[in-house]
Amino acid sequence: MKKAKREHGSNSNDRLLDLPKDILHRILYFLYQEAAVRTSVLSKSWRYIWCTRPNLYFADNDFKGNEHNFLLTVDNTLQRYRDQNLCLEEFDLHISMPCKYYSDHELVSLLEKWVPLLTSMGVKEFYFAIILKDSVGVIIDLPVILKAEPLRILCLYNCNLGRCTPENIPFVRLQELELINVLIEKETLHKIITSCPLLTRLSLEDCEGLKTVKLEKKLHKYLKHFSFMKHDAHKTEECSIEIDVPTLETISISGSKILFQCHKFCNLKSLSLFEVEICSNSIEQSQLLCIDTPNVEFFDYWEPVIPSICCTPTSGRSNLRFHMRDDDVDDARSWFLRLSKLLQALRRSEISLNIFHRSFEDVHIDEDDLVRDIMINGGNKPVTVENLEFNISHMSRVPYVLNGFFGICRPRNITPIWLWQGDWKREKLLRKLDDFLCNIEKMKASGNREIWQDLEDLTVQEFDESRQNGNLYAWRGFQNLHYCRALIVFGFN
Amino acid sequence: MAAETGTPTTLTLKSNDDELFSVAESAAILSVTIRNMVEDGCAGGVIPLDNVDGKTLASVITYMNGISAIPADEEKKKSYRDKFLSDKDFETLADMVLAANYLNMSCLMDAVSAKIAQVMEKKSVGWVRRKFGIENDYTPEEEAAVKEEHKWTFEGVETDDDN
Repeated sequence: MKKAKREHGSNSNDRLLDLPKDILHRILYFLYQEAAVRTSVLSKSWRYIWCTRPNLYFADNDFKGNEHNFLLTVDNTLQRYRDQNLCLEEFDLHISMPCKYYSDHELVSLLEKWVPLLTSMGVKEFYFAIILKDSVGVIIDLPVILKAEPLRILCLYNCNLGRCTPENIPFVRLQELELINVLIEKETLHKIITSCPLLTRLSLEDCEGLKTVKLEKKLHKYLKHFSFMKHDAHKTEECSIEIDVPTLETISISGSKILFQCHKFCNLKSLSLFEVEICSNSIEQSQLLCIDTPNVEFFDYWEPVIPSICCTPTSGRSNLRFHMRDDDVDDARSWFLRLSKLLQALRRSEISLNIFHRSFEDVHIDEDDLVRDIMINGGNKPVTVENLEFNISHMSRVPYVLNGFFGICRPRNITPIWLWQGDWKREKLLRKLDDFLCNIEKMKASGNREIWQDLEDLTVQEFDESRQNGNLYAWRGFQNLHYCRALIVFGFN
Repeated sequence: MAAETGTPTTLTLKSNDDELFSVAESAAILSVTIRNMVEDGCAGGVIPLDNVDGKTLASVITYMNGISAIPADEEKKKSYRDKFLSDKDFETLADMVLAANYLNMSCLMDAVSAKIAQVMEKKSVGWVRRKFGIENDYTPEEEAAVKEEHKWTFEGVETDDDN
């Protein structure tokens, strides 16, 4: 090619234009339409390059200064491609504007025109993201989307896919489906997910009326990411999800029952469960369901009770947040034993435990019994817990609870949230902290040897904001608090 | 090929300014152009790459080695690509996109094209012309006319300081 020219370095006039047109189109491929159009001003040879690029990429929130004409521009451009018989392979449309600039009706009628037009032009891929943020309650009717055969990615927010389930949903290329606050019939979703062999990501959030989702191995060979969120789970009827896809890489579920039909997920990297109920065909409700996940890197769990499920990480992080309630306090020994089993399963990961002691009852626990139970039943050593954060209603109960924790685990760091109950003065806090440390020393001197023998030293560190990532959510907003936050660091031999 | 002997095969690549580079065959065949030569049995001696200069080829080989050392993890590969391109100037990027096209390396081609597009996106016409060495052959009247035609696309873009 331009070997001689290249050697002159500085005199590389319009080196981009030396590039063949398909490379220029490839560069323009990544631009929104208006940035692509702008290249026409660069020079004469650039003037018409944008006109024929084989993809169109429209996003209204980047459509500065002329939002009113966004839909019209899309429409005109599509007409031009059709009239000039230009090759169009991809069509990417992102709409996230509030209805300030155009009506739902306008949008719907244009989409009803575009979908068949694009399909007839032989477009190979559609990407639709229709996100009507500010029109909550104004759900727009978009059953026409269900006819967009070449869809690759579909993301809908606040839409209605219609009451009628079409005979045939032709999404053979669909790879990603994200529906947020979308009215969709169960049968329609079922039809979509059973007719999309290539689906890799399925994300459903607050889709009212959608009560059951069933993921089957034979239908979802490529499904890697599944997420189901129900934010007002307590208000609405129960949802249930059945999972039988062992190839999943991420699972994130909130506000639903879950039935795991398979118990081994070799590729699973992340498992997040919030306010879920685990059902199982194979084990009793009271037992811990251990799913085999050799490659999991992140296990996140947040709900009132000790999970009845856990995974088996060999590294990575496990974050657990739950309560210790009246029932649990009444039978503290079995509560700690269940917790111990869970921690044993997670022992190879870096564990963070966040527990809210909600009971007004004292925790009475015979630590000698507890230690014996754990040694005899499990034959296991206490598990190292990187961070233990607990919130307790009264200081006087702290030693009992701590005894229980030390019976089953070795926390490296404790964030003593209970110290801030009701009192914010630094001097008082420091005194309380001091009392607490004395207490630990006393427990160490007179308590169960098994529990305390390997505690070597105890230090207090000023709380480091960056390490906790706002975990102390309950205390945010109190100024100067960081000043007296502390971490108690335990050194075990 | 490499598989039979157990030791990695090394290829020698020659740039158009006669620099020679050694590269593991397993990394070099990221280039479909090179892979075809290897498969056709043309890789015994030195593989001449007439459209790539030494400086660019050295960069491409760094990329080949870096990306092929990452196991099949698209996210890690992507972050490697981002990091690899983060300190490249536009002249280098233009050279790389040409090289990637010639060597038929779609992943590098896309990454460089996206990078070029990303910097063009919000910049003024004058800035893009300067950076890419584009000579403005419009008369002021013509340029004004083209601008007027697509007036809406210039809203919210930084203004030119030089023309």
